Amino acid sequence: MATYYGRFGTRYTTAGQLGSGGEGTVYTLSGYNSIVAKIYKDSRFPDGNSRAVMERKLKAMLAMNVPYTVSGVPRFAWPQDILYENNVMKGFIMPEIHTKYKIYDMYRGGRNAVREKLYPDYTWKYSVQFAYHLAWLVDYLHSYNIVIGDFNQSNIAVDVQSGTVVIIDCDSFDIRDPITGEHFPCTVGLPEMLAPELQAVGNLSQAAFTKSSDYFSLAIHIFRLLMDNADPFGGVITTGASMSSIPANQAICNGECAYVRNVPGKKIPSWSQKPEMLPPEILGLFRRTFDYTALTAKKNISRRATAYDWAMALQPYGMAEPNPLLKRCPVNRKHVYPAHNRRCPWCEQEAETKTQGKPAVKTAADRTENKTTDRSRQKKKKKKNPWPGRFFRAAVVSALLAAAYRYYTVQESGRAEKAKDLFWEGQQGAAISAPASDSSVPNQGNSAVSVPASDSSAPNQENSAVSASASGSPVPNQGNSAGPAPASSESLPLQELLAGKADGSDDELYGTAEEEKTEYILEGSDSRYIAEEELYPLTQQEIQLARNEIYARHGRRFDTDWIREHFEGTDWYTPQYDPDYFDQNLTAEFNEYEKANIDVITAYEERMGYY
Amino acid sequence: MKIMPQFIKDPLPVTNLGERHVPAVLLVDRSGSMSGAPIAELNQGLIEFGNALQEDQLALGRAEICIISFESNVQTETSFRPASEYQAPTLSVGGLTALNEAIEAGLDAIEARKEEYRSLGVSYYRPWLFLLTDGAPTDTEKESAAKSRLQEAIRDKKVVYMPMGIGSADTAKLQSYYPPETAAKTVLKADAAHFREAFVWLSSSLSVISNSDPTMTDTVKLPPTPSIITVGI
Repeated sequence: MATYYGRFGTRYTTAGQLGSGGEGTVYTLSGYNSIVAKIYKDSRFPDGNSRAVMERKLKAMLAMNVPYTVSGVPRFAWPQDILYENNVMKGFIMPEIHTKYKIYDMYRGGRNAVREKLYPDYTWKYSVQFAYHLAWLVDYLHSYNIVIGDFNQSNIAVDVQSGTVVIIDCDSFDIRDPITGEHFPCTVGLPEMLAPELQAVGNLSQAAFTKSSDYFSLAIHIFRLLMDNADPFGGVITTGASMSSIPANQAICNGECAYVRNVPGKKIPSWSQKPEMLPPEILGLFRRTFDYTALTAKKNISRRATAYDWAMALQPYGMAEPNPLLKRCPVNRKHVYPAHNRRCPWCEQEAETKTQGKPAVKTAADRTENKTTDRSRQKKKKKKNPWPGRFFRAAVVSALLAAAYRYYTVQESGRAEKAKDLFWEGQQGAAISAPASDSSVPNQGNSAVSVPASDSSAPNQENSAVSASASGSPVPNQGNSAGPAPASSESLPLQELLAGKADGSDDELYGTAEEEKTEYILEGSDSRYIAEEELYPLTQQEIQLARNEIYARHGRRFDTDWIREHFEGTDWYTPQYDPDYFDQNLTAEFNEYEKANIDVITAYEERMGYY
Repeated sequence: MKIMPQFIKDPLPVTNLGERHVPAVLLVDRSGSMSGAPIAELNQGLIEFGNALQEDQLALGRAEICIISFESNVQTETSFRPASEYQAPTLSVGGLTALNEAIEAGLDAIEARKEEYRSLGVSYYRPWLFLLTDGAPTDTEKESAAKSRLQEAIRDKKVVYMPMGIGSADTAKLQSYYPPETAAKTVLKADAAHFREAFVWLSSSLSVISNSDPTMTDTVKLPPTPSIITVGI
């Protein structure tokens, strides 16, 4: 218990200790229940001058008179009074924030997660709402020319009762005295949150925190909220380099964000959500912020999505349901996702996580398989090392759904059906038939020749397809009127298909298919119009291949190694023409389908920021 | 890479895969020389360690703990698991002090867990190797191999070595496992009252707010603690 005096002689006596951090301790005050005292440790001020600077800074903050309560809820722990002991500044008074939860508790999912206890009905929409609140708050502070600076996950509290976020540790904010104009810079930061321009600064007390650097940290927080706590700069290192030899912040310095651009030697972890899960305009904001390299980092600063941009983009997705922008999974009602997703991305992620058996072994196998170009070797391997990718599984599920759907059409119209080969054509829209190229085509390098061994790969979706079939209603959850059938026609009796799965003859079934696969990413892109929806499930690389596929049919050669290797691995490709010659003289040969499809794909790539 | 299967038996899956993890191995001595007060102190300390873990929720979601005990033999008490799943074991004493073998086992366990992190794309801070002992190894024939491996790991910044003396620990012995050029050969005193500092150090190593060169964060910056025993070279 200690007694301090405020600027105008108010007497404050500390009661209980609330918490202690690196630079100070927070106490409750006897006689007050909405304010607390933060008392600095003496080690916070190595000399008298630094204490004097902090005192002037606190005075400046009081003079700014920023409304820290909005709609009756404190939004940040803004200083209310300065505390003195024997005329020496010892700390300050701030509003009490009634919560012990932090924003990272909202990042973290899973069975025992804190957020599941706080909000038993927590869904992705909650994450969007928190992201919105955070973006709004940053924009609010920026409107007062306050820069947060040390914008890390421990400084953002979550007020569960009001469902808002609150920024604590305001005394590190970067502010300017409204009267004297003195600048009080932020001098601390957590490296994992810092923008690239600050990573290179030798000493953060010399660093210039800006609104733009806040935007960078904000985007990291929003990414973790929306992408199930993934690190935007994380990923699986495929070069074999030892991770400990890589400096901790190299990824931020070099803009190694595999979610928004192709980063050589790095791929998105298989357990992670795919960026395509995000609404395109939100993914676009991440691109504006994270798509840079060491060379373009500086130039990119002005492109970053602002807090205002984020708030405006997030707000529609945070609106109450029924919200046409959101879908709820018919299988698991806790799965909420943006409506452009044709399949539930959370079901797919769960299916992926279940296959995370022995990752170390799996990786070794993956590497070998990626390097080899010997198909027979891959065939042998495939039974031992089923490729666990969600992508292939998604293809199988979509094929099953397609088969189930067509089963009705066929039964109703009484047409004859051709079985297995059509099943495989049915999945061409989604499954890439990649040859064994190197890992430059992440996520699907070996999908075509691998076989999912687990029958339970996506039980939920299969069941839904079956039950739909039994009740005679259309296949649920298809989302768009185009229906589930990607490219081909006709059908396969569902019972036969499922029987085939049940009695374990998958390998035979899949094996047959392998012989018959036509190895196009977008089947018939020279003889029909491609719908943009067909591009949604494809990765950036697949879309690039799909566009080049149209050129490849005409025999154009390719300079880019991984693209060339992809087409050389197909049965149908015959390289004939030099790329420059082709582009100058032969593109006129494209038919109207091809021209239109190139336009559709190019427009989509531009919109997604793939260019 | 050398993986000793008995040390990676039933580790629990990594949680919070998108966050930077800090793996920590506790090597705990339960040899005959620890009987009486020292082992009671150690058991209490392991409970304190668990209590201290609960106080930092950010670190609780990022730290992973593996406990390996040693007497004449080396035994994994609990394989690597999230700190939120930490349970303090109750250790009984008996046998010799295979301290050097335990060091090798601890480094092996760290390597195995790191391999798992890599394959999952999980980034990590420098692993911690706590050594809780009264400091009288009996497997002296393995000492030079274990010592040079540990010294090399410390030099290569692959591990933070954190010896903690129990009872009347042989501080000089524990310090001899540091590379000779290390200036501050820290040895913590691991009595029950100070045990939680071990975790305070661990957790602050990952949530410390840096105001120095951020590219240098793999050098461990620790807050001062009152019970350090620091002896110069």
